Amino acid sequence: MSASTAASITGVFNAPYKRPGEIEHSLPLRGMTFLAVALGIFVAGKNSELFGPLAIGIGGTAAGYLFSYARRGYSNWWLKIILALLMIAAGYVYINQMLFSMRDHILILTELLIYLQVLHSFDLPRRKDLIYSLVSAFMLMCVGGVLSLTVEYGIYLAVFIAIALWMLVMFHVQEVSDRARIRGETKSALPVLGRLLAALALGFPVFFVAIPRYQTHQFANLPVSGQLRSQIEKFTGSMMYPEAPNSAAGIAGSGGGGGFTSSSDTYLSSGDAYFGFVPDLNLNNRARMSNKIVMKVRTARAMYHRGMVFDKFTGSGWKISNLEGRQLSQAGRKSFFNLTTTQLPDYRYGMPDFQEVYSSYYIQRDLPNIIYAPYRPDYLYFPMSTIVIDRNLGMRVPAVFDEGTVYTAISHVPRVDPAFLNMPRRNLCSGGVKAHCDQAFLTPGIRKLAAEAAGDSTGALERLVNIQKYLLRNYKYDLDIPPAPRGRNAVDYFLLEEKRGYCEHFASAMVLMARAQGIPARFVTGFAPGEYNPITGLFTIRGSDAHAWVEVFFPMAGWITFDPTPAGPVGPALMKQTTPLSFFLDRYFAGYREPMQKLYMRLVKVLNTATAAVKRLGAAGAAALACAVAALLAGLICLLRRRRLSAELPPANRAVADAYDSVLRRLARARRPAPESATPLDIAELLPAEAADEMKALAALYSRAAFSGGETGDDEKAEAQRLAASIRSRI
Amino acid sequence: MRRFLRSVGRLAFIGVWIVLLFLIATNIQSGWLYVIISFLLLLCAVSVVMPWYMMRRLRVRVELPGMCERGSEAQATVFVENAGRAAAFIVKVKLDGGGGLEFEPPGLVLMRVAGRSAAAQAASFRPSRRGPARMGAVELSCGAPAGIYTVRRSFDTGASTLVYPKISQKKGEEMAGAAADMSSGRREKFFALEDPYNYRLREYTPGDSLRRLHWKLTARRDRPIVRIHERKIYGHAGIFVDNLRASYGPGGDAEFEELLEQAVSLARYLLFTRGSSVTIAAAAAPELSLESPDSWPMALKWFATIRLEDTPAGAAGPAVGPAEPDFAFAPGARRKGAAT
Repeated sequence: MSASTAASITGVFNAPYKRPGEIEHSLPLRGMTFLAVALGIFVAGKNSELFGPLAIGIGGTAAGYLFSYARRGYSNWWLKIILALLMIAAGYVYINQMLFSMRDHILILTELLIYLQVLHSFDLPRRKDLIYSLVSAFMLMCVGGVLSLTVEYGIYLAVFIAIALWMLVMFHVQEVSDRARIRGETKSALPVLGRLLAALALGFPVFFVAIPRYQTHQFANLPVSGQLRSQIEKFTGSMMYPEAPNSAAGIAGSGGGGGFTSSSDTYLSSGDAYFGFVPDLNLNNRARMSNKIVMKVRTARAMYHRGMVFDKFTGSGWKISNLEGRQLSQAGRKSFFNLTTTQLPDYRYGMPDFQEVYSSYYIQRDLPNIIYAPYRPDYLYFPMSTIVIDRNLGMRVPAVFDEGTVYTAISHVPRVDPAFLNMPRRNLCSGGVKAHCDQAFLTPGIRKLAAEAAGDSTGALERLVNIQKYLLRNYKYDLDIPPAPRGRNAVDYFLLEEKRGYCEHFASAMVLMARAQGIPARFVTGFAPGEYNPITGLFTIRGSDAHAWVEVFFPMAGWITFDPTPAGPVGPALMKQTTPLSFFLDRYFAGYREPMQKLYMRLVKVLNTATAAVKRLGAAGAAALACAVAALLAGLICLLRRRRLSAELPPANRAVADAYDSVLRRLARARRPAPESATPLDIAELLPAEAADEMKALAALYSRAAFSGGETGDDEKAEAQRLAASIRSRI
Repeated sequence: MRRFLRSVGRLAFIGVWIVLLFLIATNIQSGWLYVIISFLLLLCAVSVVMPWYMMRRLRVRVELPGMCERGSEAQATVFVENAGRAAAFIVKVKLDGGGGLEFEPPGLVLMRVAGRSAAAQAASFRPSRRGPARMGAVELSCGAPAGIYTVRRSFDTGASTLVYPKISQKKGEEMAGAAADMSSGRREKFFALEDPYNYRLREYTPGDSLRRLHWKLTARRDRPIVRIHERKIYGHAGIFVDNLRASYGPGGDAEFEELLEQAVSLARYLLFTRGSSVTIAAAAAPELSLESPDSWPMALKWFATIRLEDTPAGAAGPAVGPAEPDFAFAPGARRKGAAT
């Protein structure tokens, strides 16, 4: 190949960029864009645990930025073709995965965004391209936010915002400098960035608290972690507990996590066990639960997450009459279960009104094989091919939960109308709920107390609320109580003698008292809603949130949750929408709620009285009152304005400005108003010739008084007033 | 409409993002997305309020020179006054000019205008049309802090100037070539036109040539003193400008402008270089007599305001100066309509 041929080929590949004016040469700007992009990739990759794409993303983007800076002066047409082909390939892989893979869609999207970012970084000749890069980095930050479970993300977000704002200010400066002469240094615009950041920091809480939080339907795959493997071969619903670390006992798991034990005694002897998660619950047990986070739940509502449901009282505790349940299996790697197909009694009752609630569970510690979900779970996305659901809708899987397990439940929560629940019904214990009206171990003392507490109301709800109130009024919550004497009915002992207890005692007592009243009820253990974190949008559930409560059956409405433990809500424990506003009010202003309500009622009363008084005045009177109020307001505004102006200037300067203003007012009255843009010297030209010179002199005095920053002397003030008077007389 | 869309385009872009993120946030209950939405909403609010607040008490004023030459660079002074207490940042003054005044560059960016102060900045412009020129509206815009939304206000500054034809020394010399032969043919330097013995003294004022300094007196009085020499008059010249429209064909305006450039160049050459007194007459404009360079501004004004007229009605006016010029010359003599 001759030298000239080689040169011409090189020339073709090194054709210069067509619009050199658009090329971005600023190295700091490119550097900051790269930082923003790298941060976006890091946050998205880290939170999605896509460490491979993360490494490729950061390395590839760094190389891309260096390449695009080095070749910014060339058209790089050949590179554009290669990049376009690679982007098409990435799009093809994305669509393929979306259609045929069981992976979480957001992870597939994150991967795609990272790869597109890498490809795009090789072709960034213009400032506009850097802005596109910044926008896609912002998208990655959003993805990172969606995947984040902790507040650590806030640090990355703050850094990203600072970089992005700095870049936007720089872009803005460059944009306005186009075909313009700049006076002042760019760094003199930094205070505006400071002000912006201050405004954002101060105003952010207001916006954050005020934004409503709704729940809409999910349109993407629900969060599910990678598949767990069954740890036992034949599973019918038995309990499995995570083996304590370094324990020699137990059966080693066959895979998919640590070992497990099926012995509830071994489980209860471990530090963090909750005695409500064993098939034979003994009310004399009590373990102080640790404060460690066991799971995080992403849901729009504060819900009780039921785990085990007990129907049989044993005198000393509770038992699940039949631990074996129906098995649901999925072929292949599918993770979706339609629980309504089991045709269990709970799915046969009609539910006139309900709300669909999505709850995604992010397990943070090893837990027993119980699936937690709000009542009534209808659909489940769980990373296993088999689950078992028992008669009371308690769900279990053939493996203990490892830290990092993620699953999602879709529940249909009954919406209750108290009037409907309170309707008198003849026999509530008929049909499939007979077992929940079991009268065994109902001592005469419990029956008598139940009758006394329930009152003589005919409505089931009212009787239940009366029982609940009775318990709240007469019994104390206490974790340090002695066990009931051997052979003694634990609930009878709690109700009639000890009168102190913990949530399991209160819930057991309410179940038995409800049953004594002929109302079907069952005992439920699980986790209370936990603490809402408005920043992450997650409910944090700790070991100490393990709880027991009651479910009561109402025909045509299903099982309704009641929480009789002190501090629980009186009446049905309805799901509660938690927003930042409600969170802050509950946390910081709960004590003020009552006085605020009183104040509000008083205000309403005053307003009603005032409205009645205005009505008595009639139309003319009301109009006169409105005029008086308007005049008062106008006067107030004038006064405030005058005071504000006076506050801005020293008195003598203000006097000069007033003199100048008086001329303007006279001009306006003479129907020769000065335009808003007119400077003092322009105004001089509006005046008659004999007054023009005086106006120029007055304008000079005014300019000095208003803008020089110095203080005006008395002689200048007198001169200004004299000139103003003279000019006014000539207009 | 385009201007409105340009103003709100970025806000709309962020608005779309907010809606999209809100949908996703309500869909998956992500608290961090609500944080980002709050931030974006606040950014939009601040981006609207801050520039508006900064612009609230900003005024712009432009001062143009009284007269300027067509096609030559001239300096205007732009004053941005901030009557508010807070400083304004990244303020752009768009000097579209209008009225035949072309600013280069057409924009001026002030990175900071302190509160209760005025910032003055020189701006170059070139007048493209002869005659009185009134500056169009000046646009003041402030898009701080991040340029997401820009507040714009137009100010009618009312600034005006008078544009006289372009003066060319070379053209003056060429035009006067024949006339130089007709008269004495002297080509003397400027100082040769001054009487070296007759002068008065006055204090130096900016613009005076340093060559006029009276060094002895300056040293003695400790302040600069200059000599103002009497001028010698070397003859008298007359220039006739034909400003009757009928003398020019279609598109005669351009031809007339060219003729004026020749005339003014010639007049300047004769007055300053040749030291002649000059009488300028026109078919339809008052006559003007120039005895000394001091009367040159009058000539510029005359050349700036003369127009093509349909009738010679405005031609009346008393002639000032010598009755019989040594020579008479009409620029563009070989063109149609011009006469010697």
